[in-house]
Amino acid sequence: MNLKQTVSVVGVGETGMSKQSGKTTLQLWAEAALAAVHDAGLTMNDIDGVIVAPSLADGFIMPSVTFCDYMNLFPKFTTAPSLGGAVGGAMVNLAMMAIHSGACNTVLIIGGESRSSTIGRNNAVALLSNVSHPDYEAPFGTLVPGLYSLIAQRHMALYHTTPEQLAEVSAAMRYHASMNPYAFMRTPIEAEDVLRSKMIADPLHLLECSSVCDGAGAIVVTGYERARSLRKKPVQVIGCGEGYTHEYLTTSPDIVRSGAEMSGMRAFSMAGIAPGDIDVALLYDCFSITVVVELEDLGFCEKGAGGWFVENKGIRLGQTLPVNTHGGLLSHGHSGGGASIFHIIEAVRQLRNEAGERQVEDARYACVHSNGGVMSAHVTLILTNES
Amino acid sequence: MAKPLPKVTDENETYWYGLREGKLFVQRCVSCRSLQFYPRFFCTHCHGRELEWHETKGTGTVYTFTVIRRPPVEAFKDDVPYILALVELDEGIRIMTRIVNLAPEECAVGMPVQLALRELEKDVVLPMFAPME
Repeated sequence: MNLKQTVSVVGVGETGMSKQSGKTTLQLWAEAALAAVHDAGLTMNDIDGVIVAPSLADGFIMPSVTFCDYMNLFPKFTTAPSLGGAVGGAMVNLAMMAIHSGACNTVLIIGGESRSSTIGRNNAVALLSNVSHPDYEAPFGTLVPGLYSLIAQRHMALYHTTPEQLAEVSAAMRYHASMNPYAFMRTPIEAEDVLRSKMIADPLHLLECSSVCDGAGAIVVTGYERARSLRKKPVQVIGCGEGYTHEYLTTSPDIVRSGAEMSGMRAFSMAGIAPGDIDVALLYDCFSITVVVELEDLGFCEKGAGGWFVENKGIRLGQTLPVNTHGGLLSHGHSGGGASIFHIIEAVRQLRNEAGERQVEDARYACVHSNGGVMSAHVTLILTNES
Repeated sequence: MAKPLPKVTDENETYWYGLREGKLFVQRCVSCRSLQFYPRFFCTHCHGRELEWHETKGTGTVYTFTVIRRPPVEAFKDDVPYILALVELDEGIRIMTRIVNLAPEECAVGMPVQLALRELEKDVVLPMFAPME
């Protein structure tokens, strides 16, 4: 891809993650935004595009305009895409389109919310059951972890994926989080601890399900040429792709694969690189099984070999393909659909060589994948520090 | 919060009334003969507007399942644990359902099942499945 035509991430910022921050979503968004703009060496006056991930907890009719009201910002372009957890990557894709079209120059992107403080876990769980069809699924008693368990169960039956392999995903996330001061859960655990945790919906245990938190993250994106004049080493978006096969599991053509096959193919093709070139992967990990399916569908291994890959190649720092070095949704925390902003932020930190003890040596290419619904919506990004 | 109940509309009423008569209907397009579920007013394959209701045999296999141990909302607390599943009907259509008359430990992907209708409150019948006899 011609770098002159691409966009770069020039600033990142995040609040910490907590159960009871006592802050509103708007406060968290503003805190992350101010941090990201400061990190970029810019001011709010430089921001002329604003994209936010809609928050479940608040029910804002116009989330991004509400945020701009709070910040006293008057953008040329603003939107709040409703794509569930896929929104992280989708916001970057939209920023790229807006900048390329000339609609605006510098876009502020925000994800996360005050999900735990504002509505609490039980209400969040109840609201999220909307991800199942209200007439043909919900009446049977669906639960988001249960829907992902349906995927895990079939994956195990078809490919002999084991509970230990899934548990290792959670253990690896926690190992990474133990090195991240921003992460919510940092106490190291091993696969046995995961398997001993309460069974939520067979085969997924409590520690294989990400937990509801408060927290927000933000990034600033601008054109590559301008990015090179700013204070931090810019990170270029060289590939982006989206893929959609269903909303509801009932209508999924094949529940052990996903639109990530298409989004990955489109992103890698645009970037002109292959999965083998990726140094660090930031994969949406609402549940342990999603990492296994994404490793396969994005092309890091063959279909069905995701569990084998986790066990034998490894996704921990120092192993074949470090995944979610910030701790992922599973251990850094899940503060809403926009929480893959934290995956994007970690990719940027890795490529800037700012990840401290979590640093992947000589990281040049990162793959970030965002997933929404029940493996329903997918966006893949390829980022690089090459200039 | 009460149990979510399906909403009957003119698009889907034949499906819900069919269940009350003991029949599990899916739609078939008159033009291209594709089968589809869930009900729409058009064919999702060729977008034709003429559809007929096809009564399925009511047999199939467990495409996948899980055991729900934590009630999604308070109203389901007396139901847990229950087996939530996707059943693939012999006709090739998949529907979400529960497997009944079966201990959770005995459920397996691929198991043959047959229709076992269950009436909820308010005259709503849901298609559930039991192990094939």
